[in-house]
Amino acid sequence: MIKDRRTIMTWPAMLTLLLFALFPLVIMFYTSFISDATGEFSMANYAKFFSNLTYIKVTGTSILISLCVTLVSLVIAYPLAYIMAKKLKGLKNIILVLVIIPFFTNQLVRVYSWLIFLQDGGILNRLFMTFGLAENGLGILYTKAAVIIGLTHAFFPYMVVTIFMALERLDDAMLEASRSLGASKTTTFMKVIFPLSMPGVISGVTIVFIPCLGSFVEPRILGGTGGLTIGNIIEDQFFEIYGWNFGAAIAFLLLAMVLICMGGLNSAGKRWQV
Amino acid sequence: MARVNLKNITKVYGSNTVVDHINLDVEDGSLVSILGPSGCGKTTTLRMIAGFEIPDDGEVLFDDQPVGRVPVNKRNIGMVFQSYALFPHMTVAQNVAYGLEQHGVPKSEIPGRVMDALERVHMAEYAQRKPKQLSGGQQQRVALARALVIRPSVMLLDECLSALDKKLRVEMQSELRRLLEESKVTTFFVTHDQEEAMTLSDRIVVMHDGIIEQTGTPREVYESPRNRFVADFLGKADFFEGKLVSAGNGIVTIATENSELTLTGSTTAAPGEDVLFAVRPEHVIMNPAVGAETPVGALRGKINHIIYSGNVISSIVDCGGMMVRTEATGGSLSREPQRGEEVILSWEPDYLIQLEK
Ligand SMILES: Nc1ncnc2c1ncn2[C@@H]1O[C@H](COP(=O)(O)OP(=O)(O)OP(=O)(O)O)[C@@H](O)[C@H]1O
Ligand SMILES: [Mg+2]
Repeated sequence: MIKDRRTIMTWPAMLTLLLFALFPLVIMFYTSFISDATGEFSMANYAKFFSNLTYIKVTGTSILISLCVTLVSLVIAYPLAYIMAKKLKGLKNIILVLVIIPFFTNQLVRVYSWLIFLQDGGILNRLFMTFGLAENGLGILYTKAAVIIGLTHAFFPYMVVTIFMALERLDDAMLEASRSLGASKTTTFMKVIFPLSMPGVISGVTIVFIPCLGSFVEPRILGGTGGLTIGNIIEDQFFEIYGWNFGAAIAFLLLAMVLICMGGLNSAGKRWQV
Repeated sequence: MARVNLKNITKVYGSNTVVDHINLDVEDGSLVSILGPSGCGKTTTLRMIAGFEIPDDGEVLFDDQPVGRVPVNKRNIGMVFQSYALFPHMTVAQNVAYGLEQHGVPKSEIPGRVMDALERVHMAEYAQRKPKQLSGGQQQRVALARALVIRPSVMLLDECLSALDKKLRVEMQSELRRLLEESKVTTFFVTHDQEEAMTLSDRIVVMHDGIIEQTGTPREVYESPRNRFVADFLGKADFFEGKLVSAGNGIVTIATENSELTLTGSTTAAPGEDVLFAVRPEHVIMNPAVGAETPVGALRGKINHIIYSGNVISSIVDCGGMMVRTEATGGSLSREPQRGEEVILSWEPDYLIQLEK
């Protein structure tokens, strides 16, 4: 009886989810099988995607960009999180606030700031040119590199937070125990700190890589043609070309990719869980 | 397996001298307890021996060699922490093997030594478990095995039993004593539990506010405390303070603020000096007062209140405004003391302890 009454309480939430998340998804899944050209129910949209090399290439670009963003974020976030959690504990709140600022910045403001910063005649270029480091400007804007910079800025704070939380939980006595048992600082890091921070690293990777795969604002504004991503293709289908059904098919392919990645990362995370 | 000397070691945090020129010589293979109230600098002292803190002054010597420049991982120490600090991602066996690997023990020897160490703490059957799957007491045994397996020259234990419940703690105390004696390792044992310090150690170091108040065997420190702090911190004590009037024939007379007291005992002080005496409550014999006569050297008073704590019955006796505590083991009393009862308190002359003023 009691159990029944409890489940009743969850019904409104369930209903909302069903109505606003699952239902549109089902509709989209259905339309992804309707050919934009003939209106027939077929695999045509999916076939179209796989038969066109451009789409495959753009998918490759998306994956490449997301991998780079994840890697760069990891390289920035790990030392930062480590310093916050273990070295400068007194400053951790200040650093955390500084790191989280991109969270609170409007996406467009953030991206356009990079646009201004990176463009020819922008601050960065002029700086490099005054010091004679680059003669004709860096030409970073409208390349994959610009997209990677923009996306890293947007997503690395997530990584800092997840790794910080994993390291913060680590008992300092454990590190001292390792040292007392004869391990150097490096060995202690490799054998104790790093393995124990892996769950944080993996959630960080998940939380950065997945949204990057589907991103379309940064690539659109900073990426030019070389930095176009799968997100842009979907966007175009919906807003430019009105190929909604084909767009839905690509969206589902992206969703499939996301689910596979999450599954993989999740099981990797389980292996490191203690 | 090493003689340890602390020479004038000092640690200052900001403007706060936490450890203040401590000197201590510890024999090879002996077990020393560092005892003192919270914040007196016990952990800091231990961490300086370990090498986690560098003394601001003075030096630590292992076998007469200064170790100031030797990093923690080269000092060959075994540490056991209050939080056990086992590596949660390794099995019990891997935890114990860790130190051996770091010390370059040949791979073929490691499993044997690990099992041997685990057997000695009765944890062999748990070798393949993760620390999370063990109780606190079991984790503590593993932590001990992990520290002992590398055959350290110095063992450092920081309140390592205080997270265990009373019964388990007492059990672990005797086991710890056995293990440490077997391995003949020089041991520093930090605790703020005086009973633990008494039962475990060859010598007790009583610390207070960054200095050593007294060092000695448990018996010495308990029976001949040097000053008020030690007498009060180890066990309980009744204090008598005043100016010495006269002494002799087993009787000491002192003038307190408002009266003159005669106490059974002797003193080395000269008349006119300020003196402080103490008596342990369990040495105070309480008898019902018969007649108006108070024997010389005894105190007369009224029982103010009685504290019953199972094995011990304490009576707090009001001797003209001065509260004197007496203790008797439950079975040794011929009759229950009564509140308000008139009593005579006395003790054997040897039990009057003269303290430093
Ligand atoms: N890293 C530090 N920075 C500043 N002050 C410290 C530091 N470590 C310890 N102290 C101070 O030094 C004093 C002694 O600390 P310590 O940890 O040695 O005490 P303890 O005797 O072990 O106490 P407890 O029984 O509570 O563990 C305390 O007042 C403490 O606040
Ligand atoms: Mg301490």
